[in-house]
Amino acid sequence: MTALFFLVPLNVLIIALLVFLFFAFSKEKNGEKDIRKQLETIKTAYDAKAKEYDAEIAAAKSEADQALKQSQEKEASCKMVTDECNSKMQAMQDEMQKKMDEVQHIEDSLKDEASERIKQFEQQQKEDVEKNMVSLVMNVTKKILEKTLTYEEHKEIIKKSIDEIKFQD
Amino acid sequence: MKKEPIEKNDILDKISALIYRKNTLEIVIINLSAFKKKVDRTKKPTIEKIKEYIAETITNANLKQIFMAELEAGNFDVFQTQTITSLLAKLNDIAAIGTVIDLSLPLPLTDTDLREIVDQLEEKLHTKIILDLKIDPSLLGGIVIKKDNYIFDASLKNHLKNYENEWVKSLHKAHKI
Repeated sequence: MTALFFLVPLNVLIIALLVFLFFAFSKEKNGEKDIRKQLETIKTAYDAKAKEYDAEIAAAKSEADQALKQSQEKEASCKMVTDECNSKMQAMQDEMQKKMDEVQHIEDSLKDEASERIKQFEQQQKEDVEKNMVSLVMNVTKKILEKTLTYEEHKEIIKKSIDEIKFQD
Repeated sequence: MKKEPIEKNDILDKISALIYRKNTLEIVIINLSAFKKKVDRTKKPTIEKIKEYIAETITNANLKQIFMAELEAGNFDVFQTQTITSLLAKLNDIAAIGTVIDLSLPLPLTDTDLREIVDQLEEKLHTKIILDLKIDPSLLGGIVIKKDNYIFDASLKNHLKNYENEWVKSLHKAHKI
């Protein structure tokens, strides 16, 4: 009896344990299913989201590529404009240098010409002054001659002048 | 005492000796022509008439002096038409064959001095000289003679001009050096 006493609760316990296990197992299985289902849902959602994100990424990438392409094109265009600008600037600088050289040349020529003219003017002035001096001396001589020559001296000069005459036949 | 009549040639020489200036020659010819006209109109001119004609027609002082001297000397032949005609012919010859020389002087000379100049020129040219005299004080001294295309400028003005030119030339040369 004692053994029975002990066997009956044990059986019950075992049965209970089995039931428990069954239920537990069943419950676990249901939980797993749920989890699986949930996982499936999550996966589906994840895949959908992933797809969505991939599409967005692709769109963004495409947009980025396009922007990059545009940027590259703009950069190329910008480079071209810059090169053209540089080229024009260089040409302008060359032209400016050329003009400056020309201006310098003209300035030098003008300086030389002015210097030459000043020299000529000084020379001319000097010559004029000397010429005026000669003229002045001659005029003074004339005045003196006019006043100092006597009638007899005039007569003498005239006679000597006639002596110098050589008529052609 | 009766004076010796003067030969026609003497009066011709006397008058032609006066003629060494172009304007004198012209005036003397005009005077003589006018005198001749007056004489021609009178059959027998008296001394008074001749004096009157001389006063009326002869403007050249030297000619007047010669004529008056001849008249006072009683040499009436001089005033005959024939003599006057000869005189005019002689003067026209002088005008035709005489060499006219343009003479510029700085001051007027006396007749004696001018005569000397004419003698000097006649000696050089061996011909009768008639002066066309001009007074140009700007000459200062000396003379300028023009005969045809020949110009002899021996004036002090010209000498001074030449000196001035030489001086200026030498200054130019000095500047070039």
